[in-house]
Amino acid sequence: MPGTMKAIVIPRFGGPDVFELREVPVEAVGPRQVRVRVHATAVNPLDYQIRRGDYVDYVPLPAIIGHDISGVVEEIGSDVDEFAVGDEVYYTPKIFGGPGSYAEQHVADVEYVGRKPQNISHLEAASLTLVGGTVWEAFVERAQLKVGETILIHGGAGGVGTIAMQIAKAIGARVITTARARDHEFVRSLGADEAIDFTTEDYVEAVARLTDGEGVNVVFDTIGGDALTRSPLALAAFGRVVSLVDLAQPQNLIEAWGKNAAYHFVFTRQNRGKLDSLTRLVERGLVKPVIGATLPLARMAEAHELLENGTARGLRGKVVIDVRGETVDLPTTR
Amino acid sequence: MRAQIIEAFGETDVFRLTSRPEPLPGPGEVVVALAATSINPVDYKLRRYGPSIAPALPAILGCDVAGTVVAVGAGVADFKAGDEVYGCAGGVAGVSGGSYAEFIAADARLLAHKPSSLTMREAAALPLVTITAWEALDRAGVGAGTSVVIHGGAGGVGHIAIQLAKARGATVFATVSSDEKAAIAERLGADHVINYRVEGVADYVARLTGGRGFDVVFDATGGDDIATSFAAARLNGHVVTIVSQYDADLSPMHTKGLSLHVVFMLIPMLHDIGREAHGRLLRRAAALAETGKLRPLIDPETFALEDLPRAHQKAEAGRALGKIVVTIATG
Repeated sequence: MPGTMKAIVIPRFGGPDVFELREVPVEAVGPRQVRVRVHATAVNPLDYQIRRGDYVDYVPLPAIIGHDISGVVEEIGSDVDEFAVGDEVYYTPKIFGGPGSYAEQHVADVEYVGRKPQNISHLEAASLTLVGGTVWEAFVERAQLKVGETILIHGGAGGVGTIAMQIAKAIGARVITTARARDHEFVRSLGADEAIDFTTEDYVEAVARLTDGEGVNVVFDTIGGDALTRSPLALAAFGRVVSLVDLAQPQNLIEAWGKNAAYHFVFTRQNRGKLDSLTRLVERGLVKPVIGATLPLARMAEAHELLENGTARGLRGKVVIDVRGETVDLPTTR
Repeated sequence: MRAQIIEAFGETDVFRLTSRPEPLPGPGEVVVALAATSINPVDYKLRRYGPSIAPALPAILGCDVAGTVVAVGAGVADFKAGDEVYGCAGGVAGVSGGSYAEFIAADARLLAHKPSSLTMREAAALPLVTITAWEALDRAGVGAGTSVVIHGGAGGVGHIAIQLAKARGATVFATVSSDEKAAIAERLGADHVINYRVEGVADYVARLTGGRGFDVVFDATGGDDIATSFAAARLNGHVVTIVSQYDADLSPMHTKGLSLHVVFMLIPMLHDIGREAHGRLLRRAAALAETGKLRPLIDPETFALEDLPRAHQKAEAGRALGKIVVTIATG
């Protein structure tokens, strides 16, 4: 090393068919960097947003994308003493900052790298980094969710929702989530106190019913659409809305004014401390990874199609990629 | 007592100067003999549009109170007859009276003792705008070393925000629309004043922050140009607005990871939650005023209670420089 590695490359923006499995050079390791053998990665909405061209100004082509890594340190830079060869690590590569995780090898600044929780596999660890870091940023650093507060988490059965519910429970909040009826038992098993079937009941009315008209202290918006305009209708006075969603259309905030509300927009930022806190929750068993499907690196296009059509395919939790092995595990139709 | 009442919502001709019974203090209330009140945008918006947060008709509008306690209700320990007080205590749904009258029965939790360094007219200019600016700075986490830009630096809320941010040790930037207002903002303590009609947001962000953006952007204009505020904020910065009756493109908030705080200070009055916080905040504001760190900007034109329609017209037309204060009793 450095030699070459297999990687999934996008030569142009477009549908899942743009992916190409290529043999590419491995980057050299700088003094404050480590080279990691990638055992597993995962697929996020951010990945298909980049792939289809939502961030053309930030991603020069051809590009290796991907935002989750769990793997083993194979080489350390001359000024690295935090890690040794053989250490198991997990992290999100710097977003819009060079090659991503859809590859056999990854070179990262040590500041981005965290020790992997000991009680979970690489596939499980890879499912957590971007989602876990984002939820941590959203709940702990931005909305400052507190014990005893009530939170509405949209999409509890999804890749973000499954982790969001567990972290909210670990904080000591009462969790209300939206999910299809077929997923209610599942979301309750992850800590949801109440589940709203959004296909049969409007969530604003349901929240009013479940909170005696008071509303929730925090709304976690992962759905977009008119959620920013409508969320204050479900909020208690002085409530907060945290959103991960990039909005195409203008939104009206008049309802937010009536609630003295705050909106926090989270476009994940990174520091190692954040993942180390998540690691402690995982090792104490308070946050369990939820994997809905596993595919090998060569089947990345299928992984993207699955995530983009997750509801129709009955997907629960994350789509992960077995980079070292050839695991195939797909959701059964519910 | 004399009072300006409205029996319908509309133009300034809905005001009728009339005689009403003097209020009696309910439990937890004091009756204040008003010396002065001031006009806030919420007053003329309620007069014009009415529900949903307007008091039931016929109504006495007016939020800001400065005057002397003349009667004390059951359970009030902090005030006695003769105390000079100020507060934002009337004129909306959820409270019992308004300040466009010679007397008001006010929830004692919403009041504080008037700073002795200020006249009644000066004290009457402060409560609503001070609570708004204070809450805005709290919500955005403004403290020592924070860089904060205040849009509308010479306006009702903005000119108070400059002083409160300075008192917290922040580096304060203010945008204004004229040289006259720039001089005011500088006199109130702004470290850097920008005439936004001369210099656009991209230019002053580049010049004053090296292109990084400000930690906190406080839009105190009451206008709908939130896009400029997003452009002025740094990555993961805070934007605060005091109005939101408009459609806005929020996508810049996503890519910058911003927090937006929509400040609506009437909630404790409307819903009777957390009213103590307003009285506590005004006590701290009074301490700042006593040490010369907080003073209102007051429009030089004087108005009496019978001039209220004219005072509303001037405020609504945006012709005032500073707060419009209405003198109710001299003495």
